[in-house]
Amino acid sequence: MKKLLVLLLISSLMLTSGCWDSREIEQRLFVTAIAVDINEEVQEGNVNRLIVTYKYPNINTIGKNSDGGHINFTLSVPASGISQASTAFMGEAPFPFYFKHLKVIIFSKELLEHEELVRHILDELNRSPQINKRARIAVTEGKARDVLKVTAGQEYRTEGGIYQVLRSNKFTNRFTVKSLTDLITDFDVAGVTIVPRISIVSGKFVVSGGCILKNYKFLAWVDQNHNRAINIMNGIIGLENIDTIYNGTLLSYAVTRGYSRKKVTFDDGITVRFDIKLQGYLQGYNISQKNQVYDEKTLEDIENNIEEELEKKILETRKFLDEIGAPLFGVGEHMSKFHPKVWKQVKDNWQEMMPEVKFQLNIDVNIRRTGLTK
Amino acid sequence: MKKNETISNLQIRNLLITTVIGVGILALPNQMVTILDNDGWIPIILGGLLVIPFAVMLDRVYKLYPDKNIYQIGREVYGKLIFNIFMIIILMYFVIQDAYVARIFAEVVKAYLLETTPTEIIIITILLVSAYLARCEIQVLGRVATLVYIILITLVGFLVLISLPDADPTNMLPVFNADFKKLPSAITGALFSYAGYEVVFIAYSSSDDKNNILKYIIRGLLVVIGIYLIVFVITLSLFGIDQIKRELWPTIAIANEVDLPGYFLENLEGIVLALWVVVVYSTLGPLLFAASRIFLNIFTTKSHDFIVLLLIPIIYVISILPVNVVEVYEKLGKVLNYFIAVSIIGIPAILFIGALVKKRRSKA
Repeated sequence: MKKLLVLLLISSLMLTSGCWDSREIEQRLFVTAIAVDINEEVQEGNVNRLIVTYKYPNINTIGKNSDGGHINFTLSVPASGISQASTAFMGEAPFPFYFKHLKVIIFSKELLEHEELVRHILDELNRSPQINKRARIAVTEGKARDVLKVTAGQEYRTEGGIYQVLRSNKFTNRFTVKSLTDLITDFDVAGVTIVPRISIVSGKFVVSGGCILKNYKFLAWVDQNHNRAINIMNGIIGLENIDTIYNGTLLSYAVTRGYSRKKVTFDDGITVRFDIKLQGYLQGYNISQKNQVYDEKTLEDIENNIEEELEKKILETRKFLDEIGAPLFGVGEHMSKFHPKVWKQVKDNWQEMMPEVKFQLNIDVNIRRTGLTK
Repeated sequence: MKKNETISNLQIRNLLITTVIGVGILALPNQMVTILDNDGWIPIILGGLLVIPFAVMLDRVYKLYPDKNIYQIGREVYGKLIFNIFMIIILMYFVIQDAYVARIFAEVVKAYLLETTPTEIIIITILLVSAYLARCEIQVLGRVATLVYIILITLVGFLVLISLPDADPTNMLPVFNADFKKLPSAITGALFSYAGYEVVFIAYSSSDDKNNILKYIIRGLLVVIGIYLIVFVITLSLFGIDQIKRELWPTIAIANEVDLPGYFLENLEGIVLALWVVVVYSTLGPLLFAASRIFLNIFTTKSHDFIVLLLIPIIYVISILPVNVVEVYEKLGKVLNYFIAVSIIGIPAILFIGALVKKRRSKA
């Protein structure tokens, strides 16, 4: 009797699927990028104020049995929120969407003019257990959906070209990589942040420079030179070129690594000392018999020249940031951590105080290698 | 035969660690940061150290009455009726604690893994699996705890490993800058994360070396403090205080913060939760075991294994009472906190004082 019961129980296992609601992997659409635009044709009282665009790879083109169709698909729909769009898509998409592989989120500048919409979107993204919090953020001047449509034909890998570019600052300093968590943390800590700018140039996407956001709103664009200065001040130093004019000819210096440290003193107002140390090699100068760099004095001279050039650029950037009222050098965050008592007194009118804060730049450029020639 | 009925002190230590660490570890960083900002690690340490005196008291009680278990001691000190009332309170505590753990477990699993599975199914499944463990004898629990202890260490190690690349240790700063008037309420909050250590006192009488047991219990508590601290430090250095204040379960959110190369290996919560499920299992099992053991001693039934099955429906009903996750924490959690206070602090102290007075009198 007992044996029969056991046998019955075991055989019943064959009838159970093992999953509550099993879903095959090819019956899911993996959203890799989302673009959010403002819906211009929206009527008064309609909540669908956004146009949300999803990009997802065509799983059938992956692997040996590729049928050679489109590599990526894009879908756009007016919606009130990012996840809400996925139900709106159910009319056209064959399978449900899945967000765990979301890599890139692109906002349009127009959208960033509306603080309440940005706050809503960020909260929705942050709240969802589905969304990968390391998805990279970028901002575009035109329509965000156009960026996704442009890249749809351009990419040959499912990971996505935009993501590969936006992934890290290891190879460039022309923009500041920002993940969803970074963005939210920046707003929490400083209320101001910088996000890479993505634009379409002759049918291809280009990431360069950044977009400054303040209190969940668009503030200003910055070009790649300003962005580089901001990165260096914050210690984000990847492979980078610095061009300077030395003895009347162009000289390029390649940065390989470096760091930036802050120290705040309060003797006479607030003074911030930045210790910036860069290491790199001489990349190119001028080929001729007399313009040789192979002696200590010349190298030192070149180093000083680069230091001056860098200092000039940083001070320019600082002036620009003070004018638009965006304290992006991380001084406030540094003070809140290392000088909490002073920070408590100044944090409420930090922005007005920012132009009065003295900067003491202590830049140290090292040429470690000069290449194969003298 | 005799050897098989006892468990080693090391097993008791592991039983303590795996029982205490369960669902509390997920929300602890959030709760501490909400009250004390960056200084949330202070109440974690103090709360843990505060438990030690009560563990010492219970140990003294056992030393005063060697070769007796807690029920016999209690009856001798306070008489059958009064002590049974105590026991019923503790029984209710274990049952509610079980329901609370099962419900939060279900909420987390539903949020991260099984989005469409009904909460009820998740609760029933985990309760039935735990019941299987709880029906065994204490030696089996000890062995399971030793096994799970390794998994727990792996889990913590894994969390540290995946959070290292993006962690910013300066997020810990500033230290000693919080409003220390809130420290007492933070310590009480932290104290509840150490609930469950009482299970060792049901295992106490089965120990094979009763002289050294206290040492192992204190070591176990120190390990728990250590694990809580590690989790607090990595979550804080990864998220910063503002984001932690927002996160319901910062400890699991760590898994959402990882950038892995490649495309399809992205769902790290899966790995973290898989390990964590086992840790919760080893919390529910011993709690259920303790509840059924107390039930057995109140009503003097023969064996405890059918009582486990009797308790399951009660636990299930309590666990589905709260409508949403906010009610779980705010209502069920509040009720539970009173029981924890009585069970962690009240009962050991009362038993200790009673036993001490009784012994003095009988000597005089």
